[in-house]
Amino acid sequence: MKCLLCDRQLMRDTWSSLFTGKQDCVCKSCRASFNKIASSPERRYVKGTELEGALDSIFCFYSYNSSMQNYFQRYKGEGDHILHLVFSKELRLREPCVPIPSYQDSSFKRSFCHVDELFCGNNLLHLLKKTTSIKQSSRNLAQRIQSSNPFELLPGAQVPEKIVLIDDIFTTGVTMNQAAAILKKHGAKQVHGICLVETLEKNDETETRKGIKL
Amino acid sequence: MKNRHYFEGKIQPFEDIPLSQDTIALYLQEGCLEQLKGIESSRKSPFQVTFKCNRCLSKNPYHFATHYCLRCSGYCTYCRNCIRMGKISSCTQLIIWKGPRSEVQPESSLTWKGTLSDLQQQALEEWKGSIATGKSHMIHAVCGAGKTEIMFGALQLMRSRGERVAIACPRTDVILELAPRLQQAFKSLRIDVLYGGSEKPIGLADLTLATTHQLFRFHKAFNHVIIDEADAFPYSADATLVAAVEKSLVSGGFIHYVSATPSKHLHTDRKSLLAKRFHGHPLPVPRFQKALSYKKHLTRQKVPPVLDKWIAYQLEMERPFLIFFPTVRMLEDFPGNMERVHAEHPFRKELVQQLRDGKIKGLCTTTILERGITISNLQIAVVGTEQPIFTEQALIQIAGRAGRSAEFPTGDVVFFHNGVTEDMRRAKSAIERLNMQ
Ligand SMILES: [Zn+2]
Ligand SMILES: [Zn+2]
Ligand SMILES: [Zn+2]
Repeated sequence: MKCLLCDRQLMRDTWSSLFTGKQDCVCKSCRASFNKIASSPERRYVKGTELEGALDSIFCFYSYNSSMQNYFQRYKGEGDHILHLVFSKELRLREPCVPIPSYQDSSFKRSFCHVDELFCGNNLLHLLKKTTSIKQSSRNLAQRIQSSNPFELLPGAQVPEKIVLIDDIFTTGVTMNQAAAILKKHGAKQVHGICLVETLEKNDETETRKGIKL
Repeated sequence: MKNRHYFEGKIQPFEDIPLSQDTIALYLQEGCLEQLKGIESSRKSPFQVTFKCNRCLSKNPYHFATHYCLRCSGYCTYCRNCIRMGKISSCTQLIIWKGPRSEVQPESSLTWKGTLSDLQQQALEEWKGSIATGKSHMIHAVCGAGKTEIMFGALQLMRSRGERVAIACPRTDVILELAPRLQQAFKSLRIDVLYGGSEKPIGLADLTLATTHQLFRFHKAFNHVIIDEADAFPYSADATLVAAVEKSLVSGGFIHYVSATPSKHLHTDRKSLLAKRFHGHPLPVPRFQKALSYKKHLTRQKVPPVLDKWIAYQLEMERPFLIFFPTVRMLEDFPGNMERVHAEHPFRKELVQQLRDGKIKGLCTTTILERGITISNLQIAVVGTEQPIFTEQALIQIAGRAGRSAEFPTGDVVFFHNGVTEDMRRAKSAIERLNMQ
């Protein structure tokens, strides 16, 4: 077997992996290139808006770095479906999960829903649909918060009291809070968010390198 | 047919062609076009299905994956080998040209006015002889021998014979470095430059410059394909690339190779060797420098003292320098705010240009910059030279970045290491051998 990300031959490193078949699908150096953090990022963006408190908690497994950027470029951008396996083992949750939907036409081009596949080992409840089709990344934050909520409940959806919302990337938290607000409007009491990656808006990044300065 | 240029020499997905569906359907009916399934599958037994990608010709089972597809509402297989150029699935229709080929106007359009050294001239004459008599040719030229200028002469002859040519190289950086020089040498020609993320021009150019992977897009397009830096990863490691190069040739076309470190697997009818640099000075010989605990230093976010001293010296002498690292991780973790480039870096091109222009003093890189970079008075350091990624060929290429201009024909090449490897020894003795020729 080869590493799904860099094509290098994978070493079977322990006897137990031979018996249990628990071999990792990427090599050690690719695995180590992701930045595992297990964080609950604080976001001030929704403070003071009507969205504040819609989401009860948020948890992210990784922080965004160049390896993660490369991963998403390949998995989501190029549509390399098999790469959903890279994280699917970690993304097993106990409760049923509600994926943040993507726009119909963009997933048609990609031929699969990237969030659903990433969390494929779970019991997925599709409760939401998206109504507008402006890409979040093409607007600034003020526009995002002011914009009316892009989510809608799917017709006939049964909303449970406790919900785990899932998405791939957590940036400002606006998307997640908007989805949570809709679910709470329709009867949910608790909405917890789980994302694979946490990322910061560009201008929030701080340079902390020291050493040789040129 | 007025839309022939959309199709000729290409193999492309139906939806990538900027013509209406009806137009394409009409051409298919007329028999000018043929439609192929993106992924061909054949069932060997009830339990064994084999796949073949019709764009990159891979049959390696490892290159294929299957999932439920929202486009065709069924289980659908796609090719991972050429996915970087757009996903090809079982439900993709590939279009190839079946009609007559257009004529190429024979013209000689070399606007380059330089002169060749005697050695270059001799190699060119040998190559021209091969072209005239229908043979494939290999130019084995040391780094800095001036192989590009030799190529100009060969291209001119091919063009004057009315033949279509592509120059392919495994490395994007080499393509980017070559493109402006080629356009300068052939000012009146249309030259298409294709690499991952480049534009996809319509029609066939007079000259095509492409990464070897980009040749996947072509089908019976060229009379000659010249593979530059033929030994570079990943071409040498990938058998499907050879098939792809052959697919891009018209029947009876030729593959020529140009390389500084040719591997034994490349076969051509004839060969020329250029053992001297164009300025006649010997190749810089690398020196080995122990840096036993460099890993420990780096994990503590410290620059190893020997390297620190080396950098300080280059800064004092105001010489541009490159530091090579074995892994992206080590590169990114290197302390300090020095600019760094690797395979996925979006501004790689610009940073190399800034180094050339003297706007930045030094650059950290992975082996991605081992080839094709020509910067006057460049000094070279390699960190962790004992790591397996630094093969003999890679090290010869890296050392070959130094001393390339006639003005500064020497340069420091240091291999920092924690143990001399066989590859390091072989690289050094190969360079010394060439210097004695
Ligand atoms: Zn890997
Ligand atoms: Zn393919
Ligand atoms: Zn399909």
